[in-house]
This record gives sequence, C-alpha cells and structure tokens, in this order.
Amino acid sequence: MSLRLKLHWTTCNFHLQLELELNNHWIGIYGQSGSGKTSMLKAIAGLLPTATEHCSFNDELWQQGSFGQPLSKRKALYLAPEAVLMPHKTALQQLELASSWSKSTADIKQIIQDFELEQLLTLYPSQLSSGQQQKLALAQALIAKPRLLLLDEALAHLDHQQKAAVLKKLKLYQQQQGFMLLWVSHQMEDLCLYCEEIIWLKQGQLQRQQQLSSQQSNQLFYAI
Amino acid sequence: MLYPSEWQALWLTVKLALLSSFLLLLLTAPLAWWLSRGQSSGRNAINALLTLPLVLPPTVLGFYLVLLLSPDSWFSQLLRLMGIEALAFRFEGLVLASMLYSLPFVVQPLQQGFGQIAQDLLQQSQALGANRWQLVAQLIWPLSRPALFSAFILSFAHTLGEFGIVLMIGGNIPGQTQLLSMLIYDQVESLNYARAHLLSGLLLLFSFSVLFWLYQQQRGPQQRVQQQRNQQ
Repeated sequence: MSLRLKLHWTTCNFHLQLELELNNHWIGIYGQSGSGKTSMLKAIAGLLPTATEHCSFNDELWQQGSFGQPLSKRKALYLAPEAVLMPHKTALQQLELASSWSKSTADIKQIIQDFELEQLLTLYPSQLSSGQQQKLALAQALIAKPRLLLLDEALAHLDHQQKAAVLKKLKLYQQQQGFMLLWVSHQMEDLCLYCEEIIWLKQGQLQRQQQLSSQQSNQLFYAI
Repeated sequence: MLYPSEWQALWLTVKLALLSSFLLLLLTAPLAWWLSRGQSSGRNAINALLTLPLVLPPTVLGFYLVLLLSPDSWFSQLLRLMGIEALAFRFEGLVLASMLYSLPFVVQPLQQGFGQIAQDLLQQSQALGANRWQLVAQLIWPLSRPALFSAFILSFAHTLGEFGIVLMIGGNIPGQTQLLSMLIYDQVESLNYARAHLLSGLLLLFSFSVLFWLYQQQRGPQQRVQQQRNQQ
C-alpha cells in the first residue's frame, strides 16, 4: 500500500509545497488551521487537480499533468467536516444508493448496526444532528468499500464516547477491507492512539513525518 | 357562448404556450446546466444574449424575425433545402417566436435551480461510484424538478400573454396564427366591447386558474415531505 504525492499550489496568501510517500494503513495528519491539511486530502481525492503535480496510489497513476483519473475510478473518498449528504434522500436511501453506485457487496445491515443508525434510517439529513450526519457519511463511505478513506475532521461533531465507539468499529473495517486511512484531527491524543504514522504540516510545508510504534506514540503524546 | 373562431383562438393559444414551453425546457436545460457550473466571460456573454428578449421591445424582436422568416431569407432557404416551407405567417413560426420571447423566463430559473446543486455533492456521488446517468436520474433530476416546474410555469404564462411579436409576424390568420390576444385586439378595434370583455375575462380567469393549479401542484410534494418531517 503506497501513496505518492507531490503538491505545488500558490494562491495570494497561501503557499503549498509538499512531496511525500505514505506506506502505512492508518496515517494521522496534524497541523494548525491553514497549514494545508484539507488541501492535501482534497488533492489526493482528485478535487484540486490544479494543485497536484503528481499523485499515484499503489503504482496506479491518479494525477499527473493534464491526466486525471476520474473520481469514480479512484475509490478515494473524502469526508468533509460538514457531512455532504443528499438532501432529498432518507438515511437508508443514501446507504442503498452508495451500495448500488459502488456495486459493493458490503453488508448494509451490519454497517447500520455497527454505527447504531437503526433509529435514523427514515430521516432526512436536515433532521439529523451534525454528529449523526457524520456517522451516516462514514457508514456510506464504508459501504462503498474505498481504497483510500480521507477523513477531514470527519468525526469532530461526535461526543467523546461516540467517537471512541466509531473509531473502534472503523479500525475493524479498516482491517477487514484493507483501505488506507488518512485522518486529519486536532486531537493529538486520538491520532497517537490509532495512527501508525503522523505527518505534521506547517504553513503548507511538511514539518515532520514520523512512524509510531505503540510505545513511541505514548512518548510522543506526552512530549506535545 | 363562444363562437367557433373564438374557441379556435383559445385552443391555439394554449397549444402554442404548451408546445413552446416544452420545447424550450428541453432545448435550454443543457445550456442552463453549463451556465450554472461556474463563472467565465464566455458564460457572461451567453447570459447577456439570453437575457436580451427581456429588455428588447417585442417590436425589435419581431422585426428581426420578420426578416429571418421571410421566404427570401437565408434561414428560409436553408429550411427549404430541408423540405420545410418558410415559417412566416404560420403556427410553426409563432412557436419559434414564442421560444425566443420566453427564453429568459426559462433559462434563469433553471440556472438558479441547477446552481443550488452543490458541486461537492456531485463530486462525492461520483467518488462513491455513480456514473453519469445515475447522477442525472438520482441526483440532478429530483433536485432540480422544482426549478424545471417554475421555468415551465413562467414560460407558459408569458406565452399566454404574448402580443407584440404575434402582431409583427403572425398575420392574424384564423386557425393558424390568430391567438386570443389578437382576437381581443380586433374586437376592441371594432368597438365590440361585449366580446372583448368576454374574451379578456376568459383569458384572465384561465390564466389565473392555470397558475393557481400549477403552484398548488408545485407546493404539494414539498408540503408532504414537510408534514412527514414534522410527524417524526
């Protein structure tokens, strides 16, 4: 599992220059607001083609020059801080559509159960809390069996207890489906608990990239 | 109550409004979609062009159409090559004129409706694996239905009230180009106020009923969803 990425993007007040290679399954991304975390995830998902000089996943070219692999072929799902859902579909319909679109064999019922969505199935997105929306978006993503899952503060609206439960299940699905997960969070504590590797960004530059063993992660946590 | 010629004019008016609105919707939807997906000078130019019928007097539009539809024009010669007679003083010519005349009333609501379908939702659905047809059928069509509906209402109502252009290019031929508005004009001209009253009242009542009915239809499904939501 390997992701190569080269970004170069300049706007009037923001300069992004990144080159990195990622090989782990669960990677945390940390940095202050405006350090380029979101841009990095969007570039990988194919949503910022002008900023991406090169992007390839498992030696499959995703973006280079004028070439861009279509979004539907990448199977890289970007989940924004505010969940993007279809306003005219109920929760269950969203999950079913994701399943039919991705021609996935994932067990919808199991996922509904795992993320405790049973009570929400007949509701529209506008009737859900932002935390519930995030859970639904995550469930939808997992149904589609992505190769790469990009979480941009995508669990930030969940309370502590719920987040722990969701992360536990997420870990399970990650092991089952084998996708690579990039996770932007401001909670260093969470990142250290789950990630095998952490990337620091600062003002659009790579500040530090570090592998973590479980022991190291504890040290790192206290060091920060 | 109505004379046969008046029935004929009424039917012709409704037929014209239905046909030209339907064709307009069909032809301009892709264009409105493109216009709604961003900003550029090209788009602005097209937008300005499409809004022209809103600001030009019908006489200007009518004048150019008279030139365009006359049997000697390049347009008519082109049509003749395809085996179609010149459109001047014919119903088909009126359809073309109505479509031009109502263009901004269709394109603008469509453009606004399409614009409200967020780019990130489209991208997300593509990333989930949706192909082009699935995007249209399951996302774009249901989300833009209200906009398509109001575009149709506006175009229909606008065509019912068409007069200036018809006066310029129609020729007032019964059964071909004599619309209700023309008939009313004739009656007023000949000081036949009783018939003018009847026909005007009819058009007023008819337009109001149609608009009212269409608005009711449009509000229906939304309200149902709302009620459903309130219950939950």
